Amino acid sequence: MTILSDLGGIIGISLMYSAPLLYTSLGGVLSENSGVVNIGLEGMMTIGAFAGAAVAYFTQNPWIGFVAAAIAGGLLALLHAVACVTFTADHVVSGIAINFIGPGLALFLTKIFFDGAAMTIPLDLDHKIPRPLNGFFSSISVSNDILKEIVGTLDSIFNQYATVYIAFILVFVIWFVLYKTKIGLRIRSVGEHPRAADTLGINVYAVKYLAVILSGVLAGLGGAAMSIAVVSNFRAALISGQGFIALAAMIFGKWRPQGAMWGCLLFGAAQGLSIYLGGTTLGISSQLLAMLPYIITLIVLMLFVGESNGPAANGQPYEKNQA
Amino acid sequence: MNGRNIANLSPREIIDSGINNIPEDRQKRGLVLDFTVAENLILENYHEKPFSQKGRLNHKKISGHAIELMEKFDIRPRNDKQLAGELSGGNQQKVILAREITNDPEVLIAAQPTRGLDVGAIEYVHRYLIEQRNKEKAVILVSFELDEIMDVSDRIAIIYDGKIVDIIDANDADDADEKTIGLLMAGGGSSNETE
Amino acid sequence: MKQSKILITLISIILGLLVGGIALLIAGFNPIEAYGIMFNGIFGSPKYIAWTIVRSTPLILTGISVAFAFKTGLFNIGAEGQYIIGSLAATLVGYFLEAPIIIHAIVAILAGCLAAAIWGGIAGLLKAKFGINEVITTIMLNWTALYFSNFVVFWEPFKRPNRDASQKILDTASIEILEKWKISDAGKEVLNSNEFLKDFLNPPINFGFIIAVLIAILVWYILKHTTLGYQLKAVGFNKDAAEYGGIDVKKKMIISMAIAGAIAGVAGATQVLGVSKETAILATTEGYGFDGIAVALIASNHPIASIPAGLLFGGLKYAGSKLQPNIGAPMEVINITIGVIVFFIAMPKLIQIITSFVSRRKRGVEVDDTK
Repeated sequence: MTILSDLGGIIGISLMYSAPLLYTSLGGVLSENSGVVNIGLEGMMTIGAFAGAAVAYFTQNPWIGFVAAAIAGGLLALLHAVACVTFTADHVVSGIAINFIGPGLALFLTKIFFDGAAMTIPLDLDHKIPRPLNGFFSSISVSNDILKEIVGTLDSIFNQYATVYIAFILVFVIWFVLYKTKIGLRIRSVGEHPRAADTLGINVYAVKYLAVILSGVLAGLGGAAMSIAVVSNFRAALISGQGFIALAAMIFGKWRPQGAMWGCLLFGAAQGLSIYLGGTTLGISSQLLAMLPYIITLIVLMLFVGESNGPAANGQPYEKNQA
Repeated sequence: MNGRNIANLSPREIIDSGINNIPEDRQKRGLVLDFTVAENLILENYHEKPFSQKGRLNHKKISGHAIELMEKFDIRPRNDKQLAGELSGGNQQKVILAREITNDPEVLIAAQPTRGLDVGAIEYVHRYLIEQRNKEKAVILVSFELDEIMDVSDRIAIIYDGKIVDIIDANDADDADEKTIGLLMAGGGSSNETE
Repeated sequence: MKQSKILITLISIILGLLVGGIALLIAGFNPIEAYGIMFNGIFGSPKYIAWTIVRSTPLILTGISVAFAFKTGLFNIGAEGQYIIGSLAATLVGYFLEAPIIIHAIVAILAGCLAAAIWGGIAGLLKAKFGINEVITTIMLNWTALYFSNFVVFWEPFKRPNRDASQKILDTASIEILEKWKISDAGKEVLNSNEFLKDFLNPPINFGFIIAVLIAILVWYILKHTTLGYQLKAVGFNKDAAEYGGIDVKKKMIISMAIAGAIAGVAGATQVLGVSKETAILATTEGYGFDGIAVALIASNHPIASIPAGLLFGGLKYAGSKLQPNIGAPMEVINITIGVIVFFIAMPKLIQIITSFVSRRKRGVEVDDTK
């Protein structure tokens, strides 16, 4: 019956690793649906990870840290919005700038606030993001061995940090906002055909600003979901590539929140699988295992995605007075 | 095309078999806006002499060729190093025209060639289309402008629902009037039936 | 590069340094002092100048790689992985092959070039055949390259016992200038009498820089004077029009990525053969490929301009590393500075507004004077 508990273990790890990707990928969905390409998610995640860990440490409250991460990400995204929306910058170039500024600022501030150290002081277990279902399953007393196994498996799967639950709830929220509300319609129309939206009286600039800032907020939360949940502090290379993986998930999901979710889960699962295999006695080189998530992602992209096109006006600067 | 089936060939092969095309969307398919006028003019022949030899471009010849064409087709401003994106719509169209026509193609397909052009430019275009016809080359003009079609064409084929529903002789006063053509465009019966 | 572009770049650099200075000020450091240390850290002695050149060489090459890709319409964020593959291949050839001096190095560099070209080409192929965005594929390939490199280094015949690295390359493969001579007795005697040379040859100054310059010229030539360059640019600027003109867009994409990969591979190869002489087992990538993106943008994607841009970036990074030991300022201020430079380069409109504002004020003063 250990297969069950193994499976539970893999699923549990997968969910935990997917969560930070989910926040960030949802951020990408929002921004790009409004027509602003956001390569800078990586930088926004990093500054969020720093802000979350630092503020959580100084206030000894993870939730205040969580909010701080959102604000930090949003502020960095504001730079991106100003550049792309107001000054019609090339979205990709601005995003790259953000990817230098974000981590640079994050580590800079870490060294300033933590006495020259290259990492924030780790939070102890009580002051990290809590696990609401902690102890829930283990408190169920069962006599039967098989039932014990099942309960153990459920514990592996569902005993997650609160941030994981919030991530999945957000998938639904973003989906709802984007497809069932007026503002969501405006975001999407601005990304598809800004001129038409403009003539209908929609303030294209304001909507884009909103979408981009929100994408930073979400990416910041994603960073915090790493630094104050998965691990306990912020350090260099904590965020290395997750922002881009989240972008890949967004493209995989064809710019829809639910699709992005599957993309993040896929990658998280590949990561979980590779960690699990590393723990077994199979003796596969840890390096090959580490490659696994990336290769699996490539194969899946090859087989299932194909030519993917984002919103029609994605990446194009909008100018009101263009001929 | 001269007895050879050219369906599904690559663009290169189709061009090489003697067909040139003036595309409907000049900015999307007709020009590389970030290229200079000179570079755009050799878009289909860059690999031929005298523009290049053994993979090496001959900028002098390319420039000379461009200046010659700019004179002939009155493309302004007379700067072959000007970026195509900086030209007016009319001049952009003239660049495309110059390129497609100087190949002296056997078949020239012109889709909406005068869209957005001023009166003088429209005249140029029509004049060259007729010149090609006079040289016994085939010209297929695709257009929404009835006036243009009736001015320039020898025969008019009307398309409805993706199919050619009738081909009329433009000189035939009975068939080639606006009402009849308009009716056919909207899906009315062919002229034979209305008789 | 057009006049206005050079101006925008220069202003962006100044603004970037300004913001960096402000960050230092807010953090409680003296920016003048900091910049003084940095300036001295680059130009203060022949040794520092040599180190700057050494540190900049891989950046120049990855910069050219990314710039070339951009010019052909592709975003080569995979320079990182191509660099790794290039350095791995060069190390393997450098250690396992036995060949006379100079030839050995050339073969090693070519090996790195070819291996990385294939690595880049994979991404090109995935884009051409499956339509997958090259940003995604190259990022996946970056990580794959890292772990693959580690995996190969762990291989018994290649790994150095008791070190997390491969065996060192044979002497015949090295491209370090006067490597053996300068530590020999004869060499030391000569150098002791010439302070400048002694200092200058202290760091592993190598032929990599010359190779970088040659490649910059080669790439410039390809883009400006060959039909291949013409086709690649056409595809990059407008692939619909290029296709219309008869260019095989798919094939060109693969070629572009392969060439970009090859250049980044040379970066890795020259770094190994000239400086590190080995491939180490790494937890994360070294960052040359990623930094190359900034170099390319600062150079406006011009291959020749990548040389000064790479030197600037390398200089900033090298000098920045001296901040912490000297005044305790975090060297990350350099990343912020570079980020801000790229940020302003992204917004030519903003700079145009600033410059026209400045020139309008000047004109206003002149008008008043004539009254």
